[in-house]
Amino acid sequence: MREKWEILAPAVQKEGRKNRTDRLIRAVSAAGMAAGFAGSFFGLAGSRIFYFPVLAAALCALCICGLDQLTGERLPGSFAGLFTAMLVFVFNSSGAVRGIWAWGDRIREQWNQVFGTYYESFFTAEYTGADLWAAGLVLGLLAGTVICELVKKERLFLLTLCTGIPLCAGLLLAVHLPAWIPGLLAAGWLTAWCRVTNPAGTGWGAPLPAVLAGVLLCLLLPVSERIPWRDLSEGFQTRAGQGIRAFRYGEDTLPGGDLTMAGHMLEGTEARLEVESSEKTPLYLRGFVGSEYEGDAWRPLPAEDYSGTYTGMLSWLAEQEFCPGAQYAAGSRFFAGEDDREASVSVKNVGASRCYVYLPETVSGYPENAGYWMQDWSMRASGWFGARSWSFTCAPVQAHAETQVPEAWAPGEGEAYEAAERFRQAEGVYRAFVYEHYLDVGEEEQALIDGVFFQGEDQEEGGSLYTATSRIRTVLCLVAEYQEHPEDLPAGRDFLSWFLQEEKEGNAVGFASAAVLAYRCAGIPARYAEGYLLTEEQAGGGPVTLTSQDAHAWVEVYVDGMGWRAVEVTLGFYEEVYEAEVVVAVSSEDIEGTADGLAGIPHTEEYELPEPEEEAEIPSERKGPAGYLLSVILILGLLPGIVWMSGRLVLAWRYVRMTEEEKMYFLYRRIMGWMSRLYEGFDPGQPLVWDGQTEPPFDAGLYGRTVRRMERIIYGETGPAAGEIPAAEALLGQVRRAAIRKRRTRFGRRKGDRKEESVCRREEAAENRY
Amino acid sequence: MTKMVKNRILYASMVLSLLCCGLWGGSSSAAVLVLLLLVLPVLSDAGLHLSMGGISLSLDGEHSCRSGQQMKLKLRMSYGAFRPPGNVWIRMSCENRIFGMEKEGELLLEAGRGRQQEYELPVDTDICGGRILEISSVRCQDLLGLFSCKKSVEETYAYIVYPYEAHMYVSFQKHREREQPGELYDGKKSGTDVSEVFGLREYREGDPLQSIHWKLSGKMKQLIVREFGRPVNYHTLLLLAPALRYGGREVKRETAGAVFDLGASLSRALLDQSMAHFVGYLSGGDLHCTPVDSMHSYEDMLLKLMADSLPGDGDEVLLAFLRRQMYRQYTKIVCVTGAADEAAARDLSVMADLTVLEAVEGPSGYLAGSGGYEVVGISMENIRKKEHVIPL
Repeated sequence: MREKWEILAPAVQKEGRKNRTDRLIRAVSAAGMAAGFAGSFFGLAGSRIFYFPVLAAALCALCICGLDQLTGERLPGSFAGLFTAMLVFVFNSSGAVRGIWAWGDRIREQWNQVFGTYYESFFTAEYTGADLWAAGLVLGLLAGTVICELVKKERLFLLTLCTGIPLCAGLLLAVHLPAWIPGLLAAGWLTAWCRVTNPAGTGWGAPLPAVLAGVLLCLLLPVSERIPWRDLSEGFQTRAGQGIRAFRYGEDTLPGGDLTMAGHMLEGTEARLEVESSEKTPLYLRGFVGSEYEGDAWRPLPAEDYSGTYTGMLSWLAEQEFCPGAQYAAGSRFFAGEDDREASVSVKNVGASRCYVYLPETVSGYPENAGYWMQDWSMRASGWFGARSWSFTCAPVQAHAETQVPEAWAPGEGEAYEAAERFRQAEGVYRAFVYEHYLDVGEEEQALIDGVFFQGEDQEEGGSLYTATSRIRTVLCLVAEYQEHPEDLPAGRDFLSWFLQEEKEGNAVGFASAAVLAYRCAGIPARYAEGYLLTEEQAGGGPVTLTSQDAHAWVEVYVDGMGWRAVEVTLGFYEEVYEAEVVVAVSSEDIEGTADGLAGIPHTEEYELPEPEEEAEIPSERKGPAGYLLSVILILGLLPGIVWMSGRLVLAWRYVRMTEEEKMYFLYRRIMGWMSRLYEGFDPGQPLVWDGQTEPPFDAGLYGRTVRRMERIIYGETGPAAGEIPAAEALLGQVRRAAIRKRRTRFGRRKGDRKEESVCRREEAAENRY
Repeated sequence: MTKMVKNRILYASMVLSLLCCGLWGGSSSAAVLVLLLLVLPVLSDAGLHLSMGGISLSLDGEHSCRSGQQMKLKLRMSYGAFRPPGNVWIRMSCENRIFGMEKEGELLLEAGRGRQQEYELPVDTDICGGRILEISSVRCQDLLGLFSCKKSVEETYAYIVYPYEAHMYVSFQKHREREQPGELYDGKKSGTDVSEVFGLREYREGDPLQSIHWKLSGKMKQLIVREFGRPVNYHTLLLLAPALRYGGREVKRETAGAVFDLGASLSRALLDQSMAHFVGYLSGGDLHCTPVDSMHSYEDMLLKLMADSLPGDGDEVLLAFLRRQMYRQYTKIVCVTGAADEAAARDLSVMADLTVLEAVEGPSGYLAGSGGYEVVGISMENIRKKEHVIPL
């Protein structure tokens, strides 16, 4: 028969000496650990007044140990510690509570700064230093009591937690504390550790590791800077972050704002999204949104931009039922519109990153269960492994974003009016935020953009979106070429300068990045967006599988009242809304009313309205040797072209200098001219009537409204309102296109030449736009 | 999971957490902290191994004691260059040869100062028996409780725990007329020794004619017969039947110890009353009867008793005694047992004068007589507390 036993054999020595030593070591380790814990914990908030809780904790621990010694542990000293903490709290409860909340809020700020999160502030009341002192005292007493009790009860696991948590939190939050505070915590923990793991006692050996650690610390700290820790850390952060992200959400080829990865966006043909839309409208399925340009990457707005004056703004907007991510659909309800066909879309994620719930900016009914709106950017998936499928509806789109003009404000009555007013107020607040944060451009980038896009001119603030878009597209068309797989950005280079001045080719990432900054320089709030593009051709015809080839980047500009709208600036992805052939500067004094109600348009010597010219045949897009031949022809013809273009650019410059009335007058003349070509015997003075059997080749409603407004302006009844010139320009574009189609149809051209026409027009636009 | 493994997991978790958080945060102080936490165990382990070199130990103390008596056994530890920084355990085993029981475990030595340490080892003397104490190894732990180092040592110490001698007085039921054995006559039963008349009675059919007392018969006008005396050879045997099982029923270890205590106490009491006797016990399957007529023989008997192991079943002792018909040699048999075998006792009581002394649980004993023999129950709780009177 075997039995086991484990007992302690007492040594033949005096009992008193052993207990005294052990109690002293216990008191010292408890005091040191409590002080270090309180200091580390309180210092997480970055406060400099952590000395008070440190002192309070240390004294509390020593007093508790002394009390235990005096009473022989008959009266638990921890009760005295708790009682004292309660007493202090009751004496200044409001201050202590404020201090604790303020301390917690500071930690939240620190957390947002380090991890790039956007947790909103939960404490906005005023607090004083005295409140922090009160909170520190209470927390220090509690820390001293708890730590002392744990040391007495020899709870090694809890003691290790109490040491590890503040140390790890301090390291994660990059808190800068004096070295002696975490050193005290570590020393107290080591001493307690040695004491607990050696139940038979160690005499004076227990503090030995702490002393040794202190000596080594003094030796190693001076040389710690030589350790390449930061490189290791950055690499670890990157790899760990990527690994975690890939594990949770999977991977795709979208750069996620990293401009060094732009060349890989369109690699492969893996299926990413399966989309089925009920309407034939293009969808810009938005994923990553970047707001700050950092030379080689786009980053979202930092958390501090949503604090300060704008603390709680997003929560307040949500209470007003205003969602920046779905503002367009919400706002379009309050504007007069004729088409209310919403598109129903369902999306299944089969290979894209599951981090985002890809939604267009025109979304109206979004899937709340699938995710949550991340600030005012895009929708993030709420599941741990992301979102796999979702459905939503989209508001109908009236026009291209660059010609977006808010229609008449039609708030309705009763509840609808209140809702509309609420929307207006919320939109006003959000608009202020947008204009404050989405117009920032660095000095170097500003100089570069001004030089490339605006030739060093001062841009008028509030310039029209269409004007800016046209200019940006034109310049990009001239400066850069589209390349699906451009070269990777060299290390250490600025992407913008490299794209615009050196490489001069790129895919949608480059075009969108340059365009965002150009819009901002033009005073139009803009941001960079990535995602997947469902084109108009793909939509409305059943389920479509979007692959890596459909990955895209674009610009989102803020249209007052209507919210963020996607604008296409990448070559080959947009059609010109209108293209002016001639730019005429007409002064207002020359505009005279006549007896028959028509304005007489003076013909100046400098500017004469040219007769419509026959459209020059533009060769088809370059392909192979034909392309090279055309290039040779173009180069040979470039010289006279340069001369001619210079003249046009001067005209364009003058058009930009026109007043609103002059522009309206010019556009009116152009529209009438094209209408004459479209309809034989067209009389501007007579109303236009259609026989009802054929649809007009342009928007009849737009025509009627725009022409009436133009006539009112020309006849001097009223001045042009904001957005009316873009409407007129849009109408001119439609009429001109209709006339050109008619002419081509007459000459037997196919409808499929639209794309070729776009290519031709791109090259001609530089000549004929202004 | 042992404590050391738990300590290692906890320590490693702490280091890993600090490492990961330090890498994430990018603070170089994290590197220093992690380095410190990695270096400390290495230094601690090195110190441990250095201290293990000169460890030696020795045991010293008394070699015998009575059951229940405090016995001091000293353990002397000597360390080499310095005492191990952490705690020290010794792996010890103690075997009780009578009961065949072995107790083993690790003994934690309290920390002290200096390179020479002396400890008092706890020695179990509750139950009698020969003991062999063996220390097989010394295990030392480092200061952080993460590593340990074991060193083999061979140190053996033998001692005997003799049975407890309770205060006992034997009350003899027969009057003992002579001191030497063999010159006494039984007062209860008649025999055939014509030199001693036991008694007179009327003639019954079958009585031998030689026993008729003719002179008295003539006077009494009826036949009177003489009953002759029965010489009593006062050979007393204390038959000890200590065991852990009686008739297949398990009993406590303390019961077997109490049997030894009762047997030794009774033997000592008989000796004190100048009553030489024999002590019988089963050893190696054989029944041994040792004469006890002096203190020397008494101690010899105890020594032999403590050296042998218990029989498998206590009933085997009586059965072996009956099988060998050893009852013819003894006139008085006192069976000291933990549980009486009634059938065997009844059989034996026919052959010999039997008294059963039983160690019983509970606060009180009893005295019973049935089936031709007496049973005296002695409470185990009271063996050492009061004086006992044993009627024989």
